[in-house]
Amino acid sequence: MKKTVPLFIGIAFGCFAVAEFYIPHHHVGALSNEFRQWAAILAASAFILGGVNILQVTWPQIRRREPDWRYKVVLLVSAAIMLLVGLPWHKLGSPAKTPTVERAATADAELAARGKAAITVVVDDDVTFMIAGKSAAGTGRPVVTEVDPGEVEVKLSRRVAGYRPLTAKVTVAAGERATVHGDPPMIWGRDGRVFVWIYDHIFSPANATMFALLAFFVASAAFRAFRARNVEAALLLAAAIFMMLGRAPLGRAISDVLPDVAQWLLDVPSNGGRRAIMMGAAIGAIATGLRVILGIERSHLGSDS
Amino acid sequence: MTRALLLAVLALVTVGSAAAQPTPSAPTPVVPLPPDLRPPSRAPDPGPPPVAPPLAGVTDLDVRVPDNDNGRHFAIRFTRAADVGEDVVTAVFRRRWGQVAATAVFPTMLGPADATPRTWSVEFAGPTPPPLGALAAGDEVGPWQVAEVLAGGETTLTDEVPPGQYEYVVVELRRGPGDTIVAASAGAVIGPRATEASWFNTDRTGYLGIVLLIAGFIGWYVWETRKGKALYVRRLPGVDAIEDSIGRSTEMGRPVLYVTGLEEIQNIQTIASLLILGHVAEKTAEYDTDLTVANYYPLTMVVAEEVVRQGYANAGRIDAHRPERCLFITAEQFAFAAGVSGIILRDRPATNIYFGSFFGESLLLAETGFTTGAVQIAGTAELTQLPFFITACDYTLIGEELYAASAYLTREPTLLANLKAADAFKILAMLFIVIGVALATAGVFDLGPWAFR
Repeated sequence: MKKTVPLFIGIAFGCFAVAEFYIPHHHVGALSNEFRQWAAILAASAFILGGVNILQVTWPQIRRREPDWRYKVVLLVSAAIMLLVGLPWHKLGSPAKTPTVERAATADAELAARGKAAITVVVDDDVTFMIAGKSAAGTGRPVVTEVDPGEVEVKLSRRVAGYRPLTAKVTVAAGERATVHGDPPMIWGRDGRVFVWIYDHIFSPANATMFALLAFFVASAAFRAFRARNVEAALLLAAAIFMMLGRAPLGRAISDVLPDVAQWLLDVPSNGGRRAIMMGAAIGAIATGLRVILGIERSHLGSDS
Repeated sequence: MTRALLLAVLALVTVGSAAAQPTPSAPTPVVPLPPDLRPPSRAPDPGPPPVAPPLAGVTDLDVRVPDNDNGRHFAIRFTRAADVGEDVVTAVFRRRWGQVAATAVFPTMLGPADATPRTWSVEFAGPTPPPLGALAAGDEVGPWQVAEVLAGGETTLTDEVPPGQYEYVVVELRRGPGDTIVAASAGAVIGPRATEASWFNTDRTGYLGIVLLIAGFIGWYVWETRKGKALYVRRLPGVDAIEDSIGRSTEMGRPVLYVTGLEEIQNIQTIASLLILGHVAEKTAEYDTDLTVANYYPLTMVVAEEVVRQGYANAGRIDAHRPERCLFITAEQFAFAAGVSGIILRDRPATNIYFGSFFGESLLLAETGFTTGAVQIAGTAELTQLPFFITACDYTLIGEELYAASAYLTREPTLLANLKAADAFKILAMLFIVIGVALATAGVFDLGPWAFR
């Protein structure tokens, strides 16, 4: 029973997924979107299981002080920090969403005569502001901008990510002067300052370092691959030499034929082989899919016990 | 506000309509600009107001349901006048059939509903004409909605709508100074047209044929095997090496590492990888060797754990199953590579198996494994990663071999029948290629409606 029910569910949903490709009807599309949402919810819930798995695997190793247990501590502490800073704590409070706007008591006759109004922005030097679509950087001192009378949108943003911009619509009459103050508040969560800072300054460089290692691994792998131990390896070596020379300026300096040979290697033997692999893989994928959908293959269904 | 804007357009449409349909005896009328369109009177009166030339409307308006539609589209096409200028744009309006405005402010159909062609007009003039930008696709104007404003001279449009019956009006609008609309043509009206959803996409008949053909081959070979016919499947050295390498791990007292790839559970390569994992788990259980499974996604980890449990159960060693050895590493590519490399360097598995979908991290994993002296078996259908695996691993399953491995390991007749079916289709595909080459050589490139689109 434990195996039969999932088998039938698998067959039903598998057949639906295949049928959906051939049926353009909007009802089928809507149902398919619904199923995709279910799948997304399942996948998202599985991340909780993933977190539990990490805890289950690492905590006993730390407790037993197994070799390299300190790395596990780093792992758990890092995961806990990212979880904490990834939560939108700012929503618990009520940070400002609009800047403070103060208006002068009297109208400026000179401005009024010119049919203009003025907005003064007083912000720190790490804050940029935008008035009526024009942006400028704060200097720590008052910055006066002349605007046309009417409704003017003022937006204050910090230069770096992770802060909530402050926006206000200020209605000014001709000759009126208004002053805007504001300090965009820091936010938490995925777009928050701390999360973004950790991602940009710790995770990204570490990620790039891992990627950069690939260059050295390619060199060591190529060194092994290009040893002419047998006929096939010698052919590989010859093709590699032609490719490298054909793609480098040195190759054309030696002979104009080398780039053409390199291109021919790509266009004919390499392309032919690629297509053969692709077609074989596609047919294999269809056959495997049918095997699973039709219930011929059942080993993925897990145990009955 | 929007309604007022459209009323103004429709007022222009009325005027334009009159201008576009002169009586035979009268000279072509000219359309004066409404007073509100005249330039501001800062300077002395410049004289008579500018005159907007009459605009010809679109003709041959046709609205139909596209082929193989999902029931949410109309294909609209029309013909524009030959001498229409670049300052003229085409506005397409739609409304649900039978939907009438609560207040009779905007366009009414004049004449009998079934008259052909029907004319489109309005009953009163509006205020200041709106800027053209005020007519954006999706804007609601009374019961009408702007389907699209075509400014590039287009004469076709595919309009997406909720299922139902619709009526369309297409109007030419002349753009004036300040992006205002200064003249409108008569509206071409068509409708009602009902959306129609297809129940079969005929463009995909060919693909269905392939799937049915393969399914037919599978059925045929399953029937053959049930009759007792033995099926020959060629050797796959990479798959044969799995058991040998597990035996080696056992002798060395080191674990086996299995990586399920970097794609999600619904990816066919991940599914193929999990199918093979069951057999690997069964072998490690028989040999009493530790098996570590590294997963990129938690959902894959959950399924992998269940598959490994089944493998241990099949070997009668469910007590030896250790769920904590099915690991969720991380869903970040190079962090995953770092995590798995760490496992390889710390645990020093004697066998590393990489089956599934891999990307840039493939060489990082395989080269790290190489440095530890492990026997490495890889299998992927990712063309770009195959050279790396071939270079750094002892055995590599290329493309289709990954999908065949599970059936090959079980030697179960029904699964082998599946392999034979794929092979039979491959022979057929080769035949098609030869025929295709012959046809292309003969200059035949179009096989008509049966060709794959």
